[in-house]
Amino acid sequence: MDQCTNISGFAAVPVLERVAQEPADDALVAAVRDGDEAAFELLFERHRRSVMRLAYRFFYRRDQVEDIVQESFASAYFALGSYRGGQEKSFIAWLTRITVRTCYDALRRAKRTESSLSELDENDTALLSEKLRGNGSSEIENAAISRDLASKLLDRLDPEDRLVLTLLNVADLTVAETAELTGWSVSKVKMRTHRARRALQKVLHRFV
Amino acid sequence: MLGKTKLTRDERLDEVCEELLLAVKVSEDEMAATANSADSNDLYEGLRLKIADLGARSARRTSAYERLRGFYTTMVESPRALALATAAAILFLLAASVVVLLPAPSSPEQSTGTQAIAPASPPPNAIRAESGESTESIKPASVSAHRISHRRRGLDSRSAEVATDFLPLTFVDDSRAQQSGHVVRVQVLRSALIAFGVPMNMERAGELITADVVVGEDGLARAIRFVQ
Repeated sequence: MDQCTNISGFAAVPVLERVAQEPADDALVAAVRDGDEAAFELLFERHRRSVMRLAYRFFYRRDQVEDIVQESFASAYFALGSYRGGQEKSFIAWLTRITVRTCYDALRRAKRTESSLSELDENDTALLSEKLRGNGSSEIENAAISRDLASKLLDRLDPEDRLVLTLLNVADLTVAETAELTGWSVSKVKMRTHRARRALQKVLHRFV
Repeated sequence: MLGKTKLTRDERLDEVCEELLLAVKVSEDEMAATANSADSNDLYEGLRLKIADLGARSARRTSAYERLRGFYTTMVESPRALALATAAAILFLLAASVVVLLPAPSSPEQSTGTQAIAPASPPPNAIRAESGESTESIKPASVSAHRISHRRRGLDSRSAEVATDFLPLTFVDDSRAQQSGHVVRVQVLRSALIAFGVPMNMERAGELITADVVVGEDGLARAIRFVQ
């Protein structure tokens, strides 16, 4: 597929009237390959919630999630030439893999540009110390860990560790599903999970 | 008892890990609220712009690739052009290697280690580290980063001193060799020898030894030698 031709057409052709009966994903992909922008918009509307839900497993800020959604669909657009459909949920599975990769790349970028915003303040440190040392009696210890604090701690993990923990524990995927999305073997996923948990414990251990 | 405490701490670590992973979960309601927001049109519009931008960049990269490919094809199809390009590349590499591998000129004084720096005249045990007590100028005093050797100098008729070669404190290339400076005789702890890779008796680490420090015009210490 000549992407250059599609891109110039993409910017110029106005949005067409939507059809009453929505075609299948594979048909829409074929239409996009032929330069139909409306077909791509339909794909976007159909699947953006799924992509957004997955992005929310990795990031909780709306602007980050929207960036992920845009990057994922943009990557999907340029990779449509390599899409091989044929099955009912081929497109969503393919798009999910792209989204996971996009989230992973974003984690790596975030790791490279760690800023002072990821430093913990005194309250956070005190809360963690109480939770790790206490016996379940104090109020501080029973207070919930905020999403912000949890995110700061998880940011200290390697991107691969964060990825596997997020897919298994936050997105509640199975090992097999995680292996399929990441392209890793099942044994590698298990090994990575074990290492990731050890790494997270090591991060917390500093507050004991 | 110790074993039970350790198990409890590990269990607590596990619990807090689970709590962390739960804490980052965004509720379905939140996700639905974002997904159903009226800004989805803006989201799609942003996507269109991103695709157009990425496509333009890809087109530029493609044309650069095509230009390189054209150049390569010309080289392959025209043996003369290939030969000229190869000859130019070889000449460039030769010139670069000559510049890189050219040995640094060494002054006669440095090779003997005896006259590059005029020795400080006062006896060793009477002098502390005072910058005012500089002695003769050095000429020339280019200190190379490559000379870190330790050898005994022959006895000089003027003094019974034995000194190491001057060891560089700053690494400057010969083109910035200082033209003048001063030598200051100081006393330093014997343990300073370690920093310069000179063997020493650890039992005597606290003793003082004599050293001559070359101080440049800018006030920076350039080199040091240890004197016995």
